[in-house]
Amino acid sequence: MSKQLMFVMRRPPYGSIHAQEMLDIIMVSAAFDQDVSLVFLDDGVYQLKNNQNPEASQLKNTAPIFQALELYDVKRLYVEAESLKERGMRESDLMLDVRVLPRQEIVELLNGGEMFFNG
Amino acid sequence: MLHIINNSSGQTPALQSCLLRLTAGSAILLIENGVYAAIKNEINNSILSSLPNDVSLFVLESDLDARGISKNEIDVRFIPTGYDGFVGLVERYPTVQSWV
Repeated sequence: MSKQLMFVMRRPPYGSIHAQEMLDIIMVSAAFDQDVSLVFLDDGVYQLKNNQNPEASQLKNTAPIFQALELYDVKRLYVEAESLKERGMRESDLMLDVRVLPRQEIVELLNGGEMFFNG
Repeated sequence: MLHIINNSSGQTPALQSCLLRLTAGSAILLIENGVYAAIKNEINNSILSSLPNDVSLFVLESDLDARGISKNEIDVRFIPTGYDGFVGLVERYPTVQSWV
């Protein structure tokens, strides 16, 4: 039986293992046909920022993993509008097609989740 | 004194804490996730509003590049610097404090 899984991404992409681990759990969940949603809040929006070049600093680039999510049928990606705006970013600064929603709608979305992974 | 910040303001309040305790003539260097604080935006404008006068601001270029932050996105008060500049700062300031 599939549950509505909510992955709440709040951390920047590098400097800790969190973002990477979240992506691993997301891929596994999707491979087992779970109902997966990704919600990017706060510094988590930096994970989707365009033009990252982490390899030059010997860091693993997460961009190819985000781009592969669609192949795993992970299509529900949500970004909080306020988190973007506070950081001086726009939807065009992001590497993927996402739905940008105002905070109030993000709250409603989260309330519809059945199981949460925060990282 | 040279103050080094390596976390984003969303992760820890290290930069805010450091700003409260700066003295004139000191410097701040942003590295790793600290570099997000150099971006021109609402959050950083608010945090940097308490920046005292006569404090030099630096940001490590390679960490900006890793995170997809271009030079024209950063606050003009920050001077982008390479690893050689980092070494130069450590030489110039007799003491270094890392706000981890």
